[in-house]
Amino acid sequence: MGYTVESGPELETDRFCFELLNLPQGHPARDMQDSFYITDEYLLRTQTSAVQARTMLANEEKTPIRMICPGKTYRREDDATHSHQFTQAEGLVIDKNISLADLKGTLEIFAKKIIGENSKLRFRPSYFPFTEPSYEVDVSCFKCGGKGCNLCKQTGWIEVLGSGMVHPNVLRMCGYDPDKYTGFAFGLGLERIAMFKYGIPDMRYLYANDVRFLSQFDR
Amino acid sequence: MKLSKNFVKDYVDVDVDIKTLAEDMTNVGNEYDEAGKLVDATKLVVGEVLTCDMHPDSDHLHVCKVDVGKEVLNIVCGAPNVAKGQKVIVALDGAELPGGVKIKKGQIRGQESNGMICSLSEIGIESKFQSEEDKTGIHVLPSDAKLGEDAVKAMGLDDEIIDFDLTANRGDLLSILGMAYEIGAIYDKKVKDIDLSHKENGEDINKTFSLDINTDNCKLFLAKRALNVEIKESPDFIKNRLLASGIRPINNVVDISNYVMLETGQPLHFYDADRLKGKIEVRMAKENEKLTTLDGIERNLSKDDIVISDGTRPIGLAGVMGGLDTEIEATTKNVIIEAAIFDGVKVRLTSKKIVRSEASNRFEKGLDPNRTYMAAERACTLLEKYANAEISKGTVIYDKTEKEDKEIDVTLENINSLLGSNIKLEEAVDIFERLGFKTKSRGNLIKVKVPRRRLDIDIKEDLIEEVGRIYGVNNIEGKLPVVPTVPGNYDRNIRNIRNKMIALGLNETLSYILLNDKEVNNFTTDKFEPVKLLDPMSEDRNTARYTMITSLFKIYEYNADRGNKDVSIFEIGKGFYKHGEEYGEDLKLCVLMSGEFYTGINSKKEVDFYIIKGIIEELLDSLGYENRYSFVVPKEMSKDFHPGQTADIIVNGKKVGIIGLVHPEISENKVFVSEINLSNLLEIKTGKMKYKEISKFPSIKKDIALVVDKNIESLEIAKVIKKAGGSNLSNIEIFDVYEGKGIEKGKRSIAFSLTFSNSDKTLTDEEINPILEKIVDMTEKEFKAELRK
Ligand SMILES: [Zn+2]
Repeated sequence: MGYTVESGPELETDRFCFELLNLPQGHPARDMQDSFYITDEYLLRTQTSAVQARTMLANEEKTPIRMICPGKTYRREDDATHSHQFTQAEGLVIDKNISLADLKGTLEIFAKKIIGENSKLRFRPSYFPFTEPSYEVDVSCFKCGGKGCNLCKQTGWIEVLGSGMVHPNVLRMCGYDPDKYTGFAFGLGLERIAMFKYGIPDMRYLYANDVRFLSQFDR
Repeated sequence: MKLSKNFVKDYVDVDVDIKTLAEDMTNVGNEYDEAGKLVDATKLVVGEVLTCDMHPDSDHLHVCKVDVGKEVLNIVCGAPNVAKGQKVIVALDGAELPGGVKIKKGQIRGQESNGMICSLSEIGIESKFQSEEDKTGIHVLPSDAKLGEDAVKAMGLDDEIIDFDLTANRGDLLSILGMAYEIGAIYDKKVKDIDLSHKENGEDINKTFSLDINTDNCKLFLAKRALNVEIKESPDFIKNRLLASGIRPINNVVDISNYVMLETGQPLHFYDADRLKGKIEVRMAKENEKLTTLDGIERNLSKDDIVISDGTRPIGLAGVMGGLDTEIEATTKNVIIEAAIFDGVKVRLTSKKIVRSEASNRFEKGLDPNRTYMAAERACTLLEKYANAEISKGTVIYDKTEKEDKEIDVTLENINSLLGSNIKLEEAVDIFERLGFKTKSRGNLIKVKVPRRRLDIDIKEDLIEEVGRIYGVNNIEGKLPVVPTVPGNYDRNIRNIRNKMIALGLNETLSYILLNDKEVNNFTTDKFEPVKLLDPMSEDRNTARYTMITSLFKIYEYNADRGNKDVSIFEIGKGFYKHGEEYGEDLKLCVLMSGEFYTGINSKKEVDFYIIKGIIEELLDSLGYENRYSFVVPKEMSKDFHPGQTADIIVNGKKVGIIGLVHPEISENKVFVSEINLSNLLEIKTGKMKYKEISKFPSIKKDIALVVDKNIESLEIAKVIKKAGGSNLSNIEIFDVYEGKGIEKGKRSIAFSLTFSNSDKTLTDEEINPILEKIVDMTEKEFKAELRK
């Protein structure tokens, strides 16, 4: 039983993007991600997490879930480290007896594959409305390996992931009984990783599409 | 939130250095941006200006003799306010100042200068925290400052700061007390009591002051009265702690309201009591009601703003900003203290319109009603002590809040199964106690009493997070439910398309979906309503694209402007539309080719219609649509395409895309584009039934090339061909348009590929040839077309 690759609409409804993810109207965390609304109801999705809710509702508690979902997301910000359009990948696992230790183990493998065989992870408690507990995950610096350098601002760590155990409210709203099921979710910004991995100073370069720049990444 | 170490030490003993404290706080979930000294400078001492004379060769420099305790230094100083007898801050030889400035002995216009007399800016104090005098020159220390002493210490600025970037749920940490509890939990230290002692005299405030709460958006309102306040400068420790916390000191009374907010997290508002009419009312504002706020701006209120009134007029915007009329001034004698809890959402919306402040931020994040009472009392304590206030008896109270601890049950199994850990009961209990939560345990069940200050804790999972935080998540061993990924059919198709395009030698791009609404109908004649943003960041990105050709053409232009003429790119992305009330999005593949294209190792060719058509054919073949697609003259075509070199892509009789040349009026260079609606294409199954239908009687293809006048549209010719071909002509494709060598000037050759089929039989050449002759005859008659040999 493996992970399935799921996708969902980029033009999302408030319900899937926020409500079902434990972000009711007026929740202060909605400020963290000022959104592009089309109408009161529709918006360009701010996070691939919207697909979490869709997948859970579609499964109706019948089966465990193991899915990943890469996709475009949109927020009202534009500067060197933020682009109003960016790409996220989201992972979700729901089953009986899923624990934080499973999340840690999964992300450790994930980091080794995506970032490098010698990468180490550091978990920092954090806050996301749709997970409880929540963690930000740092990876040992791509450049210095953890000794400290300019890239990691001398800390040896670079923040790459948000993760946590799926909030019981989210499980309940999406049709899973939180007394029977637990799960974990994680999400990461792919441009951010590309920037660190290839030493790209400005996220907007990724969207300029200079063919000479593009062909540097061939195959 | 800027945490002053000196400030928090009032409430908890911290003996670690500032970097360690910052890292330890990070590990329990409180990230920081910066940690270090408030004044990041070395070798600053107190000096006394013994003599101060004009520099012989300058009209503004002074030459001073400055006693720094151990010695007397000659220092050249350019500040206009330097004078004999002043105590000043002296940066000695070798001193390092913020911004990497190093002080060295030397000469200034021929005069020896062995140090520098400093302004506050030079030691890193932002000008917004400085007095007018300090902004224009050096800082003058009090006359009792001791010569040779560390000047930073003498000013009380020997503090260290951590600038935290807190998560949205930890409103409790927007207070020194909250920070003290958090630090206490990490290092297992008790939090000290806050001093609320003060005398209360005279008539009870309730006898002469009334309160009227007329909205659900105010759950708690307390008012106390302080009489005969003496307005003056705050004591140094208050000024320095405000400054360390990023708040500008004003006068003792105003500073105390801010100081108490920093300590307790509860914002306060002080009114000049003599300007109120003995009453406070809290209600929603009326539409278009006016209020001049203390920044002097007249505000137009709406019914979503919570307003404070004295019964006759608005006197403040609750939680956001007070009114100008009732603010504390140098002449204020009597003060009404407001400590209240207003609805966070309402405060946020109002503050977004007016100004976001330290106070509004705290209302948004939520407040502990116990702290509201504490803050009101604490303000009285400090006003009595530092403003000689006489506090009236009593408190005016309106209270609809719950104040007792929240009781939440959690079992050891709950904790260990969610964390995947092996934590013992005593360890979990100890963590709760350290956090200041009372516990009772029976067997493996722990009943936890969570104080109201922890607004973020409501359910057992929140408690489990607390255990994980303090226990240390990095102490929990990871384990593996690792399983391979299985792409679904949909994803597999997308992946195949991407790989195919890359294998064919095209570069994949990633473009913005947002564009200007004026561009949304370019390159298409499809009928749709564009998807527009309610609140775009700019005009140029106010609408979601429908066709991706616009996006890729922009990329082409960007490259052409930079001299990259050879552009062969593709992108898989979405196009958006609205039909009636329904919003929709389709997955599309867009290809753009211009300039030279590598057709093999060391072989380049100028891109033409054939090359891009060949790419699309290869792709469709690889997806299993072989023999099921055709390129057909469009019935309707966007003006942005070249009319003679553009075709619809038809698969199994359905239009799925377009291929063609960008109109020469848009691009002088030849730019070929194609877009396929993958959502439509992939719905067209490569199933068996349709395959049979087609294979039953094979169709026959015949190519003809006609030479016609340049200005005759190929579409018109195709119409005539269709008429002449009758029912046996099932498809017309244009596969080449050519002018130049071998063709008479003013004319061009258009090549058509004609498909003949009949559902009842296999057509023979004998049956097809007369049809072809008829086609040639009719096109000759209509267009003077000649068959090209
Ligand atoms: Zn590094």
